[in-house]
Amino acid sequence: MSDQLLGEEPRTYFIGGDNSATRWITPRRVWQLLGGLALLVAVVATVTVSQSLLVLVVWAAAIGLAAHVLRRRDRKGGGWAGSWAERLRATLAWRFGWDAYDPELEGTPFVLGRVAVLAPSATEDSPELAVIDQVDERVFTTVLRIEGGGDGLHEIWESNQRQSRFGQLLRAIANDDNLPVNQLDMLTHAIPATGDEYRRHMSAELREDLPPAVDESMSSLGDLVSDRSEGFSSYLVVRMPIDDLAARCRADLGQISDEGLAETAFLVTGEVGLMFEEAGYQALPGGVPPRSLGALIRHLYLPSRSADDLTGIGQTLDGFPAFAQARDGRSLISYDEQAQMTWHHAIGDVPTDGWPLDLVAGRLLSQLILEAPPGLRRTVISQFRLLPQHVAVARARGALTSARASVIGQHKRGVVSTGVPEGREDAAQLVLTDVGRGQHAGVQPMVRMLVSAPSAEHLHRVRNSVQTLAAGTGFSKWRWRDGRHAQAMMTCLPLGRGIAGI
Amino acid sequence: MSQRARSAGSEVEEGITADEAVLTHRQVMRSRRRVRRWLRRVGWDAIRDTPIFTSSRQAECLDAALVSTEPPLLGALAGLDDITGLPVTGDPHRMYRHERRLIGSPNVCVFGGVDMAKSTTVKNQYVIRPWALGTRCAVFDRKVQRAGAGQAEEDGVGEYATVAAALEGEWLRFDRRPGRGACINILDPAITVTGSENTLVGQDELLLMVAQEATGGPLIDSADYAPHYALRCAHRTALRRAAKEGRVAILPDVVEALYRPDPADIPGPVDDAGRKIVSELGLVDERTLVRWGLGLAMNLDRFITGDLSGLIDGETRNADGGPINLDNRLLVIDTSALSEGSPALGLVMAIMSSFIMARWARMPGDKILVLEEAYNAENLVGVPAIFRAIAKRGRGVGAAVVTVLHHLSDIDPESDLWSLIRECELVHIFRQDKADDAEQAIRLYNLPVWLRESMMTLDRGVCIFIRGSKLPRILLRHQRTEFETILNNTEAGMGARAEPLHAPGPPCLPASGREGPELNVLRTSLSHDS
Repeated sequence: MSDQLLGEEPRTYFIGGDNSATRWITPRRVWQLLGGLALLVAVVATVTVSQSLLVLVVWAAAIGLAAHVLRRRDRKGGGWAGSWAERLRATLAWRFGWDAYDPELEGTPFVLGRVAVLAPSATEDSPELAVIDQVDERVFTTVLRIEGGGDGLHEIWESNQRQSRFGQLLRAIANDDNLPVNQLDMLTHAIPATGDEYRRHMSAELREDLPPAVDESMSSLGDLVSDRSEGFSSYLVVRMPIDDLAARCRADLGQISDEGLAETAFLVTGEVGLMFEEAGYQALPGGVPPRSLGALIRHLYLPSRSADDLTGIGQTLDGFPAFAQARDGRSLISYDEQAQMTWHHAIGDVPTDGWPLDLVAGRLLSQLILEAPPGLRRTVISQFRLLPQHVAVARARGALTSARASVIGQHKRGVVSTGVPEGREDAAQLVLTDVGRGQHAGVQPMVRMLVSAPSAEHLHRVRNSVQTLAAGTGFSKWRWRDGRHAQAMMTCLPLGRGIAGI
Repeated sequence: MSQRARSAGSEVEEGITADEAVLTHRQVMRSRRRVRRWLRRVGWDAIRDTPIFTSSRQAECLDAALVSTEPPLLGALAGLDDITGLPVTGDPHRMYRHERRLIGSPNVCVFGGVDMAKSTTVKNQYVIRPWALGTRCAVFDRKVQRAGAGQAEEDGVGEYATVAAALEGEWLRFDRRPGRGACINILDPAITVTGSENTLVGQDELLLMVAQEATGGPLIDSADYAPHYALRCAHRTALRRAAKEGRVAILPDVVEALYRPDPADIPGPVDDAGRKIVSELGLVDERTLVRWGLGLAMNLDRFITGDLSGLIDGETRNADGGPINLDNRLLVIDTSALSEGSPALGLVMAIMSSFIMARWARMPGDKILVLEEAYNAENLVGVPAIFRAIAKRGRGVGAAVVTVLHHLSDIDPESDLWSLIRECELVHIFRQDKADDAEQAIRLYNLPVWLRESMMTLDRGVCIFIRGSKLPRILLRHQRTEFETILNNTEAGMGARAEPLHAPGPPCLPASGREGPELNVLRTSLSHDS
């Protein structure tokens, strides 16, 4: 199953299962340990000082209550205390405007952090590429516009070949020591077609002496386009850790400077674009320039403003409009002054335990991208944090060990299995085979979706549609980032955000 | 809070503006920054997910760039891609002229079962819309519309009559009943005298085709060359005699020349004195020519006084006796009154198509010739060859030939018609009723085998659209406007309702969920005065 031949049978995938290795030392555990120790010290100290049985009883009751609260689950199976903490945070954030952004009060949105935009170009006359120096994240990111493909009625071997090329592309980038790229994001943005382009095209070609009925009929074809079809655009975000980029910069240019880093990022982006072209994609030459990137960001916040509309965009950061979190935390709200429209956005993603535990076919995201109800403005983001093969092997081995230990432990305890641990074990075994014998790279994938609607009611319906689509895709769970849509929005922008490193 | 943020917030809760207004900007900012920094420090601000771990092999399925984001717009809308919902255009000329030469031949083949909206697609995509963009169109209209109340069945007209009326096109009706139909002269000066590979179909080829149809067998390939020789002589004689009389030659002139040849027109080399060598040697004289052409002359009489009279035996004229306006941008050749599979039908199709192409050769711009129910030509000697020749040479005059069939099994794989449809690079395959037909289509156009089942369950109005080798094959769902719906109504005479294009039924391929509302059901309001 690891590497099926590219022949008669469609390739299948086993993407699901939280097959991460059990990590014994994590920041959370350290905090828990320290907290426990502090609590123990406090109990011993107060009981010793007070010499009172009542104090001991109060401590025991308090600890028991705390344990009960922490172990309690809400309706969805999540931590009850955690969800209340989130609600509290959302309420406070709304009350004090922590998650809001107003360009008249702040230079950039707080959730964006510190960023600087560099604009290298191949020559003085050639278009610039927006290189975003994300200071807090310690990464540089660039964006390429790519032409998707693979739609149409293909032979099975053609589809297999296309998918295989994509996997090999991820492997090549992850394993290339000279390519300082640790994450690729692919954004596909779908909006209802306006029909404008079609109308422009038609008006240039239509005869002038048409009978009125025919003229009207030809014009209404443009309406058909806008009523029933959609437009798509795809982008590739290249995420380059600053340390790796600096190493490449030093190797290439002999020294490190801001200009050197930008130039190196420019070169690396070009190399990635070429690799995508070799894998069958079309990367539009030059990448996305600073103003265009700003327009794209504004378009994601304000779908009523075209991604090609550069008016009002002097630099990338002009693309951030005013926004605020809704009081109920279920959406992020932005306002388009020009169109006098309010936009409501919701961001959802697949949680760790929401991935399918069965074999799935290729083009897994096609339902989310292509089969949404007409009029659903959506951006599907798939993120690929790349791990070189040697790192992936160690990680896969640990994951398999954890998964197998879990299965064995379950047997030993005589617990009836839900099948999930076995699924994890299968997935871990498969991944280990891929990265070990198959020399594949490791990938930490994430799928997110941004949906936008002109009203809260509309957004509510859209959210229901997305849940249905996600279920149809095979995702057993879909998580809306309620209460944190302003932060989640950052993971949907072409900035390569949202994934924690291992 | 500024007006902009206030506007954003007030949509959900008016309280946000009232509460925030109490604080000055400075206070708001200070409090925000402090708390936010603290929140960020404890990791309660930004989202950082720890995703699952997998391999690059398994992550292949998460490719999000699945769609061609900028499909080229080439001509008018053909429909929507049934999987992606993207608008699809497919103008044969624009695809042919595209800088990437998307197709190598602008000819189109459309086939599929009955009532699958083939004609609707052809009418809209290859006639009405291109016509509105300036393309010249000619259609062989075969399907008879039901006659109106009180009318005899034979009084029904073709389904394009309404289109011709609406687009102010030239409507030519062929009907063998005296005084009811148009007539075409195959010796019309509009047609070049001799055709060749690099030119259009000429009078000589048409004449040969008519002769072959008359004799019921091949003339030129026969070991007996004599009848063809006599025909060539008669052709020359007829043209010369008519010119001398100051009129246009017609078929009866050729028949007369076969009976009464002119020695001056004996073909072949001449000697130094300018005399025909074969005549001087006594090999070919008038008697010989008459003998060679006698059988042919008798057979050609079918077209003058026999079962094929009234179609090609006079000067070119319309049913009302007036001239035919071949300059009109839309020509509808209504053959619905001619019997299916009859020699008369095949003849009219072959001759008219040649005639039109000859005329078009002198006109700039794009042209489309639609051969509805082209399988009728299959049984006619020489006619498929004419069609193929037109299709091959059509590029020279900017013409695309659209061939419409029901089933591939109607066509002999050895025939010229088969070659014609095999060479088409734009192909619409509608639902196939039989597995054999689906299999044949898959083999002919090298389609994925997995399409076999889907091809037999395609919705009405949905077809597999092959667009050369540089663009992917797609599922095309045809779209039409209200106006086109009226023109597409083939049962107008009965005042019947236009059927919706997308009849409910089991989905054939992954449903796109974007079928949209059913097209309006309209009563036709246009009628053609036939």
